[in-house]
Amino acid sequence: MAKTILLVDDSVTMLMSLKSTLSLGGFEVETANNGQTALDKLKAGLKPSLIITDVNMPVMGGLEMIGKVRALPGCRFFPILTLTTESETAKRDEGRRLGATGWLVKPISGGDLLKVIKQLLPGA
Amino acid sequence: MKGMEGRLHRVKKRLLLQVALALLCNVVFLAVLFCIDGQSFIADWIRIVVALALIKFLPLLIVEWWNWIMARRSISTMWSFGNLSFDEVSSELATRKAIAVDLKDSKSYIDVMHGQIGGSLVESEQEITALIEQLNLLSAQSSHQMKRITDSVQGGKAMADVTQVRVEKNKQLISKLEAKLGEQDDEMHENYEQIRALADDVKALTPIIAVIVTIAKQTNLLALNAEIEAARAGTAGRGFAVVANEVRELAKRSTNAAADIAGKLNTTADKVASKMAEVQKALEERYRVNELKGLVGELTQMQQDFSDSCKLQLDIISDVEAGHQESVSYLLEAMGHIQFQDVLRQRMEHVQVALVEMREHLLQLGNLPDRPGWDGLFETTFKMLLEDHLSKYHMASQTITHLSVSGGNLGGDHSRPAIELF
Repeated sequence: MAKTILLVDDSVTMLMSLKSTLSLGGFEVETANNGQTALDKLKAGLKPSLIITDVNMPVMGGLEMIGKVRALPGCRFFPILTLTTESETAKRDEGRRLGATGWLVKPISGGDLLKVIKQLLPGA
Repeated sequence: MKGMEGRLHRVKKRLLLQVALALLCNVVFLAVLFCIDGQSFIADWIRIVVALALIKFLPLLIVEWWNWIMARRSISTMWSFGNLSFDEVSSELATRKAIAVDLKDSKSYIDVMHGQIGGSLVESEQEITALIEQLNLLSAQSSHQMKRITDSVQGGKAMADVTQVRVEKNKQLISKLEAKLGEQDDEMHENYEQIRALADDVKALTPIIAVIVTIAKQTNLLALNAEIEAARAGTAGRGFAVVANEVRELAKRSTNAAADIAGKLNTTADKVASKMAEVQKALEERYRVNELKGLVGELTQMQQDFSDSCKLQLDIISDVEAGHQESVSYLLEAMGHIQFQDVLRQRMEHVQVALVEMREHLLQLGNLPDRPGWDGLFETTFKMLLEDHLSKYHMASQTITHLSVSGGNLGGDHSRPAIELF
């Protein structure tokens, strides 16, 4: 059974290109355009194997979302990757402190992204 | 200079006129007081005059004196332009005013440019979205073709396997048939030899029949002679005539029997010959065994060709699969490059924010000359705004561009990798 990945980004083109990339890799994909929408989907019962999130988004940013996701029951340990243009070291360290599993800087090639994901999800 | 003096003279005249008018008002006031109550006025006229001077006239003098100072200072400021005439200074002031108006008009210009950037971002997003959809269709088409080719080759391979089994069975069958035909061939050879031997025996009988017929003919002649002699012998020869007659009958029956045997022998010989011809023809068809051998050889060759064809098809599908995987990797790279549109969008949005700041700042600049009491100092400058942007950038590329254009050292830690797992 294909594993599900939750994509969180306020950019339509990012969501589309990442969804295509992950579909080529054999994954099912759910999307959300900000942190609050993603959080709502998780609370509604969505159980992704991995979350990939942008950092700078309206309504709720990625770092705030990561902190809140880690506080949800059953969501402490599955991997969460940030995929962002953010290059500030302080933000990266904050992400790590809040519970991010990895930090990816845009743009990232589809091949590299799939390699990282397969490293985090053995058997995918 | 003449213009300045004239200006100063006119200001002086105005101020003196104001003072004279104020003095006249005060005199009229005193006259009215005297008319109202002359006795009290005469008794207290010094106190009234002093009070009037202190309350009305003196403050007025102070104000007019202050206006005179300010006027002189303004004209001195205008004098500080050097040897400019009043018209030239006026022109200078008009230019400043025009610049202020133009600075305020920059709002529309900047708003349009802001809109241009926004419009181009929207269009680029639409085009990238359409591009991604086309790439998705291409990927789906490629996958579909791949699946069709794989299914087709697998079907072909299955058919080849079935055909292989059938060919093997047919080969075995043909081998058995070949063996059987071989056995039949030997048997037919044997039959042919036997029949030929029989035909030779029949042939060998034919001269004997001729001898029998000859003997029968001679016996018949002898019997005829005997009858003739018996007839000559008369009554004594009657018994002999009877014997001669019997012998003639015997000869006749022998001749008939010989003829009959000859006929039968001929019939048998014909049948044997016919049979021999058949067997001969069958033997001549022994080439069927060789043809079968050839058929087995052709089947084996066909089997080999089929196997080679399957191998070729598998090689083709392997190449197609490799090509498909290569296409997928190109597609993945393309999707990565498409992400650049998002990077571009964020940089352009930052430029839009900067344009709004510029617009507000230019509006302030345009309003400053009209602001009374302006000390000539700017609360915000372009330099300050530019420096402030350094702290607002998200991307290292923005910082690098900023510093490479404005000058400055790229401080901070930029050695963190683009992919980092914690």
